[in-house]
Amino acid sequence: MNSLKVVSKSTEVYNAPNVNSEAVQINMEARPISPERAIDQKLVEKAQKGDKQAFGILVEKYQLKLNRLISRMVRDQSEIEDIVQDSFIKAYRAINNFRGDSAFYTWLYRIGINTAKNHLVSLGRRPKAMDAVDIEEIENFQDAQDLRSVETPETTMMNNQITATVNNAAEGLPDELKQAFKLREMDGHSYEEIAEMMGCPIGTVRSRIFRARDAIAEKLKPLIEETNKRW
Amino acid sequence: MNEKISSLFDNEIQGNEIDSLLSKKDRGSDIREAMQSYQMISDAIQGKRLPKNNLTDKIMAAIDKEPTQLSGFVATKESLGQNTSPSEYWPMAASFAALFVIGLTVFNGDSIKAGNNLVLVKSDIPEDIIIAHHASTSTNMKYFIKTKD
Repeated sequence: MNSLKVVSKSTEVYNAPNVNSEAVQINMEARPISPERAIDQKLVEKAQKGDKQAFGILVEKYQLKLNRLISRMVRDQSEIEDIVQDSFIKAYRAINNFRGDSAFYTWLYRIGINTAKNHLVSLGRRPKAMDAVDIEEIENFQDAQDLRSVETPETTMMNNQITATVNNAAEGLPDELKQAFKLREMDGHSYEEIAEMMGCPIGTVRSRIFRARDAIAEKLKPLIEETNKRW
Repeated sequence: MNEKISSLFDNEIQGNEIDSLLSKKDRGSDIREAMQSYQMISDAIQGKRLPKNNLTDKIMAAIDKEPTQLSGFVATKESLGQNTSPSEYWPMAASFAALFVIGLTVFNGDSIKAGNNLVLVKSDIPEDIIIAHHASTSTNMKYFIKTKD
């Protein structure tokens, strides 16, 4: 099974000045859009047609990343959570203005940064950290490690327990599931690449990764329930 | 269903699978819960610090209070190309064609009538009758100037 691949229909033509334009036209037709962006665009279009569940998936996909981005500008975790929530509400209210000229997360992160900036200004604080955050950085922003939640001995212990449970469950998986899962989660390979490496169809890779996650999630379930009770 | 969610989490899902995944109502929380669990597994395996709170439920509770966004949908060129077939324009085109034909028929009918009248005046009516007719119509000055006698 092939993954979703969308090719942009936009054509960019560059004409060099004072030179025969026919000779130097660089046609960048068929520039591919990443599968992530194509999926997000599909979810946005569904949200624009009134599907709140589709917007919910976008919230689930990006709330943690937005949380991590805002934590570079604001220290207090409860303030960060308020800003993240406000940002998503603003994004939802403006969803019909999103035309897909940029990736959804770039648009969302812009809203998040502006919301954080306004929040800091309203409190009379100078928004210092966001000066360094430019559009390129937003585009390339991946999950930062510095999630500035206030660590307590209890949360640290919980984190360690969850990490140990996941690692043990992953190690206990059948070899073909473990290999597919690690190639995806640790090395970040696409299903197509994993299928080539493992010499099997993409559908099999997809199934193996799902079964690996399902098995680990089962082991994790009691711990998550306990975590939810405590937190 | 969860295999599709797992593919969605990896950005490896197909467009039509998103439609089928979201086709049933009230499935949103199940999808979000599964994705949350996969996110936790992913973060743990990569040694990332795990979040204390998952905000999605709180955010979605606030979004549910918002009016559904429907108006002002802006279709991109891509989406028009993918989702709209030429057959959707046919009823509109047929209506315009019908209006055009009706308009043309009425216009031509009027001009034919006017043309016939003109020919009749020029060829069939003697000139002295026309002069007498003009003399007695309201455009004659005598009609407007009235004297006391």
